[in-house]
Amino acid sequence: MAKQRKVYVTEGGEPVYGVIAEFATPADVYHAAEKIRDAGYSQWDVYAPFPIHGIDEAMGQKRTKLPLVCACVGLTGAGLGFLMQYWMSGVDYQLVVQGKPYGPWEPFVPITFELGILFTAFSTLICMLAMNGLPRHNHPLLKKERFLGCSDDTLAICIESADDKFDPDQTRAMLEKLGGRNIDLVEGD
Amino acid sequence: MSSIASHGHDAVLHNDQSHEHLLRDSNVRYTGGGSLSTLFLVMAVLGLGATIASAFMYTGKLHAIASFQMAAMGCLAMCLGGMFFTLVMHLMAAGWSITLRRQFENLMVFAPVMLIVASIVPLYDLFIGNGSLYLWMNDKYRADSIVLQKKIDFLNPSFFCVRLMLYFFIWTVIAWKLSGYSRRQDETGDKWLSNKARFTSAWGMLAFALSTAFASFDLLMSMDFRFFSTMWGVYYFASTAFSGVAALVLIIVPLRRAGKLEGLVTSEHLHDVGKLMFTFTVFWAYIAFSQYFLIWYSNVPEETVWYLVRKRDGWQFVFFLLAIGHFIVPFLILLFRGVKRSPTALAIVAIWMLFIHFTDMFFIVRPMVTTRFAEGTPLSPAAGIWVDLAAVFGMLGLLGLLLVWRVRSSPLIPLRDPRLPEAIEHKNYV
Amino acid sequence: MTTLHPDESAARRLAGLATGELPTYPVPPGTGDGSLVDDPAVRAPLVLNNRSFHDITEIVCGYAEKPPGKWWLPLFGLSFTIAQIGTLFIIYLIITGIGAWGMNNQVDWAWDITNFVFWIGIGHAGTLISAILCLLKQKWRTAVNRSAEAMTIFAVICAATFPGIHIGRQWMAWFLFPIPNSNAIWPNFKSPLLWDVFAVSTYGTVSFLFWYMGMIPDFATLRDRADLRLRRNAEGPRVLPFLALRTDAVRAYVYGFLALGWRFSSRHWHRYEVAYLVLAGISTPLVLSVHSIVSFDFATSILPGWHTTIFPPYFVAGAIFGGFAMVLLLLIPARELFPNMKDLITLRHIENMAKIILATGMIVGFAYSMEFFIAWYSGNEYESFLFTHVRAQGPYAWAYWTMIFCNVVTPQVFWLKFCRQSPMIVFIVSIFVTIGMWFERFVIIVTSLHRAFLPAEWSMFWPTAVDIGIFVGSCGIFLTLFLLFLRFLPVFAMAEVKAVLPQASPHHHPPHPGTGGHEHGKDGH
Repeated sequence: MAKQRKVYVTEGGEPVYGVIAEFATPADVYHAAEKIRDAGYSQWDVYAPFPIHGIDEAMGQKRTKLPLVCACVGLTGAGLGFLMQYWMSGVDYQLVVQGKPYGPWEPFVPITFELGILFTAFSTLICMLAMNGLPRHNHPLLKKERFLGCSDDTLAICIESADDKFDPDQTRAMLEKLGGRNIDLVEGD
Repeated sequence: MSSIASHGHDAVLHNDQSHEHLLRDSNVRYTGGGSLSTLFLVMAVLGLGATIASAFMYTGKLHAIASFQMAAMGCLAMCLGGMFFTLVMHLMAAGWSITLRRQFENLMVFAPVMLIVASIVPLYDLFIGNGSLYLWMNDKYRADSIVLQKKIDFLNPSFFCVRLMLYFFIWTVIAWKLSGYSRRQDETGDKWLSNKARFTSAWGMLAFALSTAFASFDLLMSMDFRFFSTMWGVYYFASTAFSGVAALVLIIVPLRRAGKLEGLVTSEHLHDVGKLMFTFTVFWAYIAFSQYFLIWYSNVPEETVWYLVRKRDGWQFVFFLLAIGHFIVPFLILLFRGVKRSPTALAIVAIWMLFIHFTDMFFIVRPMVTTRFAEGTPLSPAAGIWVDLAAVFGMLGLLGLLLVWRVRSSPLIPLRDPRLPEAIEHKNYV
Repeated sequence: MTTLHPDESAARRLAGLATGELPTYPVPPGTGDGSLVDDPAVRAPLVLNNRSFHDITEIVCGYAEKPPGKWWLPLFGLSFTIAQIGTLFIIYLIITGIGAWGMNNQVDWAWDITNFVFWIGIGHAGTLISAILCLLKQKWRTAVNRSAEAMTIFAVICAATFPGIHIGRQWMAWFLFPIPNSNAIWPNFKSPLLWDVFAVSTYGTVSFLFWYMGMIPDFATLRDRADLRLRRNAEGPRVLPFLALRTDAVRAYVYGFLALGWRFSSRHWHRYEVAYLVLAGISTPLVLSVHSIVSFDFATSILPGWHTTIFPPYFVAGAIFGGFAMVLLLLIPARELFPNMKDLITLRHIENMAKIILATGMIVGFAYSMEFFIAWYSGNEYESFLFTHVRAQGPYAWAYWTMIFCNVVTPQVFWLKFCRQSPMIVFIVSIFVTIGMWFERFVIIVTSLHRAFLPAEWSMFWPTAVDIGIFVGSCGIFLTLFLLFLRFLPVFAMAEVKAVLPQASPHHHPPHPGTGGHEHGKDGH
């Protein structure tokens, strides 16, 4: 049922990844993002050397579910931590220490907590990377010399050819109208 | 100064004309509340009346004064919480919370009043009641107890009264100064008053910390003079912040319902207030657990006895209710972003927090009511619980009455605080 | 020189309309470097000298790319040598056994534990700055968080060394963890020392993850710069004269590997920021828990002076106190030594940290007085004996009063504005605080142990050469790692610093015509 998608190729036979345009200020890129969102594009992105406040709203990006995953993993870690201690100290290898019961909950709190934190921390980093499709060291954009300026001070928008509404000429014209500069094709996939 | 403003950072504060309409009287002044006052008055009269009446019924005098004291300490904590947040906001030069600060100030000014209310029982015990709740005031213990003999330099009537006066003085000065600066700024618009308030808060925080800690020793810990814990002051402080922020929500949300504070206290502010509720839920749990845990683990008799009587005869259920209700329930609920951003949900959580806050006070004070005077096992928590409920209702009615009066008496936000634009534009981006 | 309005010129350079030299602007009188603004209606600038995004990149990447000043190599050599000497002492200790510490009574292990608590305490400021100040929306943290986090990790490494070597049979260290073994036994989960193992290893791991995640975008910046230089000029400098390996190729590869292919996508940034917030959210209770658990080592016992319920928050406050002092000790010289660092770490930053030192110093003072008061109030004769006869006037009274002087008295100078705003005075106070915090742990551990319940246990503590050598060595390890960090890693969180610049806001309006746009995203209309 996969929808047929047009594949664009350059004259040299390279597949087209998208069209990229640079913008002068965060305000410009913010307003351009709002327009592109309203035009109904979905496969596109804003590139900036720092997170622009509110850009996710301007891009129509939904809030990530990452915290939910982390909370579940964290609570699992804490639960496992408690069970591990209870089983080891209270069941499998019972020791009389300091006249305490074998399996009281109180002394198990610190490690339960620590393991909850540890699981959450790992899940946070791993989820963040996985949801972002990283690590991915090879990317069409990274081959563009001008794009590398995005790690310094360049602000750019790239509309991908994977988008249903993508059309090399129209998309280009729209970016130009929105104030984009140095508009260029990105090759590769 | 304009040159700084221009090369400064995005939070450079300029009085934006577009905010003027938010500061119209209908949005920042509360004039209603007549029926609310009546309701609170009825609550106060009925509740406190029932508590006093219960002294002459089957539940007895000791139960009545313990319930009264429990309720008074709970309300005092809320007012001190207001003081803490006011101090901290000034100290950190907080911008986002300017529109909330006036309500914290309104809570704060009643700290000295609630201290007077909370002093009734100890003074009664000291001069008339012969130490029924505060055991060190009892002649029998003063004559017999060796432990008490060692503390007599601290736990003696004259020094005790001096300390109460000192707390009253400190809290009055802090409340009077900070609330005065804030209201004067409404009138004059003098931005430099913010800096004066900041300086007051610096020494005020120190005075607040010491006075709150010692007040909690005097008014709560010394009920059982054998017990001691260096954490006690921090424990009571954790309750003040916990209940103070819950009280704030219960002032703000109804005001929003009444059509006030539109555009001034938005879901963005509530979100951050929710984070504060979450923070102090966790902080209370941390402090309460550390105190209990260290005493449990070391098992030193004179400390352990305090928890020992609170972990049997039905009190173990209150103990676990606190562990679950004072920590796990608000913790799990407040994890959700949606809850923190919804006024209704936040208000429900705040009501729960106040309920569990009074349960905490109940857990501290009520076991002092024993089946046989001062030495027997504590009365079970369910016995005569209506007295405790009546006292809490009455005391909340009293505080509510005062608050309605106070909220009506001034604008709902610091109208001309120099950082007000920052608060109005506040947004959580992440 | 330009006479343009600073914001305007920043915007022009950002828009590519102007390039070249940095404009200077008149610093308003009475504001120090321009950051000490008293006016409550004005937020002090976080970055001085009207820096653009590109300036930030150049300044910060410059530290990692250009050769360091002449001071770096001698200082590195010195600290590296000290670290090696410390390592030799550790090897000697492992070969000889912990008798080398003079362990023939119960007081003589004090040094080791003092150092452990000292270092782990220092390690707390980093996460405090990154996590708690992040949650409190204190934007000034961006200037100091990276180096403070680095300091945290290095301090945790130093801290973990001490319990690692004090177990006596170091080759049995795996016994600390619940690893199934042929003896069919498990560690004792009711022991505070085991909680320490979990707490410190969790803390080290999570701090590292936090630090690393923060550096991913900055690694990408370093990668792209090296990549660009390679594309433009393949004949750049070599790693070694005779080796056909370009320095930039190494950088592009190593930084590129660490950057994980980060490409500054805003969709990525969104998840990244949420993840950062989650990590900040969990790191905050983690910081509190770690030092609380360290305090449990003492407080769960019944020894006078150790068993007191305020220990957990008191230790945490002390850790933050000592940690901030260490951050200042490292950053005040650094901002003198590195070019342009004063634009990023302003006098306001130093003043803010001085205020935190004052506040946490007061909390520590509060705890000291609570301990003293309750020791008396408890009526417990051992407790009151310890405080009045052992700490305040016993053989270690000098240590106790050193601690009080350094931790409670010296920070009081920060009530005076000019003291908070003078880097020199702040630096000197930080030295005092660091000494005081070391003595705090020494006082707690030694005084309680050397007058325990049985007079037969009473003895004095004397450090041996091995004790001293290992401690000095740990300072060397710490400094060596920190110097390497300054040399090779992004010392500032570039992306975060850029994000707090005025021109980073999409609602920022440079006051020159032609930018267009109108207010968007305003809340509450």
